Amino acid sequence: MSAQRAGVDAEVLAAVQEQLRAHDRTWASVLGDGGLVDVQVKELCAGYLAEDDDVVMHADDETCFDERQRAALAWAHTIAWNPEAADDALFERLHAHFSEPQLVELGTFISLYLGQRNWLRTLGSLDELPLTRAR
Amino acid sequence: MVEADYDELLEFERSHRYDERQKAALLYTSMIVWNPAGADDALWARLRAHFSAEEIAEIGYFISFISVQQRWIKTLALGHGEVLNLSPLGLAPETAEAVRAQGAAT
Repeated sequence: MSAQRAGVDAEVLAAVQEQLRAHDRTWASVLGDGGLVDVQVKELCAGYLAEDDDVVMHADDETCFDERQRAALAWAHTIAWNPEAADDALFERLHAHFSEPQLVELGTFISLYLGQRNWLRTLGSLDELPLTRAR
Repeated sequence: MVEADYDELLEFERSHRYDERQKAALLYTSMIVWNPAGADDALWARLRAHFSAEEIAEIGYFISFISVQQRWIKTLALGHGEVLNLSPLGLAPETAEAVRAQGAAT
């Protein structure tokens, strides 16, 4: 599969790169390993949102992920695919493992990661796009 | 835009309410939100006919930022103006007025 469809010209890709650069500092300082939530949990949620089989197939498997990780994955799933399903039980699970500021950060990460991923996928194959991303 | 312009958003391609520039932006929105893999050369040609490269990047960034953020906010069951009262932009007139009144009271 070609990374660059004929219609996505280099000028558009360069402009996209500039947009991503403007966001790099936020990724590094807040949404990467400089934030309140350990980066491993964010990476796990990113894997789930990227539909990594190793994560998706075992998202609720207690032999693969601990309760904290599974709560974060449940929230990633709810935000991405079923926001109306968010209920008290979900937030009880989340509050058992994360502080309010951590939940704000994690929710921001999940929403920005998925939104950015969807946008960049319109440009071509993510593995082959000639873009430098903080994530 | 007036509120009635929102009535046909989901049928934007067949609607006469939107011009070709708006329809190109709406198609871009639809692809990012629901079908990223469906973006094809025809989409980029339509966008390029009406927007500069920088504008296409900015619109894409805006859509990516706002689209999933709405889903996140929905999980929190937050209403308009409950946390931040930044702007009534995009709200229905009565909702915008309620948000303004709420902001004035705080």
